[in-house]
Amino acid sequence: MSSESLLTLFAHTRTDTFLSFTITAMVSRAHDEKNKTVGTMKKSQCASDALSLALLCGAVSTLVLFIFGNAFLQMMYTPHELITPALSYLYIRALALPATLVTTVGTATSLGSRDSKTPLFVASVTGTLNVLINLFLVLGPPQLGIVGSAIGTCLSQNLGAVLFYAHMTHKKRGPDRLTLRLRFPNTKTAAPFVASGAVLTTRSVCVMSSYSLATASAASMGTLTVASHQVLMGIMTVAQFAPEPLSSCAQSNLASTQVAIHGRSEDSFGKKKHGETEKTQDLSSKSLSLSEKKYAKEACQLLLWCGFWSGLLLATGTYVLLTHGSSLFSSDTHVVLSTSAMAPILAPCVFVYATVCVTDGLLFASGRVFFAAGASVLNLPVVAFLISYSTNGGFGLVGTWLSLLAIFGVRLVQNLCVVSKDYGLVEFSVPFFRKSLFHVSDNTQPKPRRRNLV
Amino acid sequence: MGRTRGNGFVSVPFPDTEPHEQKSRNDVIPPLRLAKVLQFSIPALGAVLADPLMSLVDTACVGQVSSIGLAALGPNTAVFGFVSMVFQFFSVSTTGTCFILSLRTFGTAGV
Repeated sequence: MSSESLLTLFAHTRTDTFLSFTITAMVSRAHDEKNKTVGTMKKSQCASDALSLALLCGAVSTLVLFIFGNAFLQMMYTPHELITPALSYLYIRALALPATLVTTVGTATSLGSRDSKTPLFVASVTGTLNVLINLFLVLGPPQLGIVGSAIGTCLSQNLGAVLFYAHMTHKKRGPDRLTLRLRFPNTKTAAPFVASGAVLTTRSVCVMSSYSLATASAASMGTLTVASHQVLMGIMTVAQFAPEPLSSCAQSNLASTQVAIHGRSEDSFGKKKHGETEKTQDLSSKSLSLSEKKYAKEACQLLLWCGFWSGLLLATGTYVLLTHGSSLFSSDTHVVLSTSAMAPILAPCVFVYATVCVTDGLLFASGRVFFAAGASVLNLPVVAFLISYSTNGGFGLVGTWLSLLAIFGVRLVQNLCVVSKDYGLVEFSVPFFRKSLFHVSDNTQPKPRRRNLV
Repeated sequence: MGRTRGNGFVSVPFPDTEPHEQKSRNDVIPPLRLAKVLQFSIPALGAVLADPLMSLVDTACVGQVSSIGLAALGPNTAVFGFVSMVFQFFSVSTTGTCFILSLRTFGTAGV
């Protein structure tokens, strides 16, 4: 199986569902496993190693946050009066980090096994528990405020971890039941996990750094500004995750095409003509028929339209929520007015991000992993400059969010250029786009000519 | 198979094939429909939105009680968001490995 086929096959989950070539090699070793028992054993081993590593990483992260939590908050320019409540929240939530990572592994195992109901069920239960605890501890008689909120989140995440563990090892799963054996991770068991996500985790960290910079900028402007920023971030986070299933859909459906190619490439190995090299066979396995190219192009167009309309819907919802429902998030008049005033900026942010999200999925489906990561790394200094400029220039929260909007716009343009080229939506006449920047051709062959999908 | 009209082979995401080869393939793929997109996306929405909604509920509840508490959530959201992104590789590698193992064990149905 070609690495590109695996790259697209791999993607059956969220926007951040990425693949590296390390994991491809690992998966390829399981290529000939037809026996279900062997497959389940392999899956058990994978889940066990992931869970062991998750528990260890979670414990270490908790320790790091306990030791350096104060320093981290200072780095974010947290105002002095916020340090005590912020630290209380940080310490309590840090206790749930091992459980959070176990939940991540549980979700990934379920989605990888084509089971989306279990994560949905667990999310519903933990979400409901969180709401109930918040209602009681924060708004109810105990009046614990931010501490009550942290307790609610911590308990919910721990419950989620327990539910996933119980589900994975439940007897009713029959042959698909996993046998989990936790063991202290070593280099051999940890390496595939760490290496596989390295490139695209770099991308995620760069994207997240933009938000951290924005938060630090808001924090430097005072308590009420950072309170308004928190409300905006909460809404933005929900809105930016909402189109992610579209991104996953892009990847998993285009993976179907690659599965067909994989099947053909296996057949072609059996019918290899005399004189044909192994390399020739491998390269040919990436070919698409006209119907497949048409399918990919139409799927791309449909998903872009879905992204556009979902973005428009989410942006409208965001605008209405901020202009008419800001009081849901704060009882402070200043914060309410401030967040309402940001509606014309946050709504376009949501719209642009929704389209970026879908184009991200299309990029991963066509194997542009290094492009996605590289572009994020290059964009980070730009957003840092913009945020710094707007903060120093006294543009306030408006300047910070305009900086984020600008970088979302840059990402959209970058992604659309590459997606349009890969899926044949637009024929570029600019020489820069005629050559592949990210797919190195075989030097032993005559100079290749890059071709479009259509 | 897969030879391009040029003299070499092209390593691109979706390269062309020779026209005569298309006749030998009976693999016409039905187009992706909106119904299928929604069928896939809506159930996944719940799992994806769980964490952000949990944070939004925290924000709304704390914001009703105190602006100081609401402001204190800001840096924490950034810190925990960062930690979550750093450990994204768990989701990446585990999903991929389990997906491929399921594919090998139970076939391509439902992919």
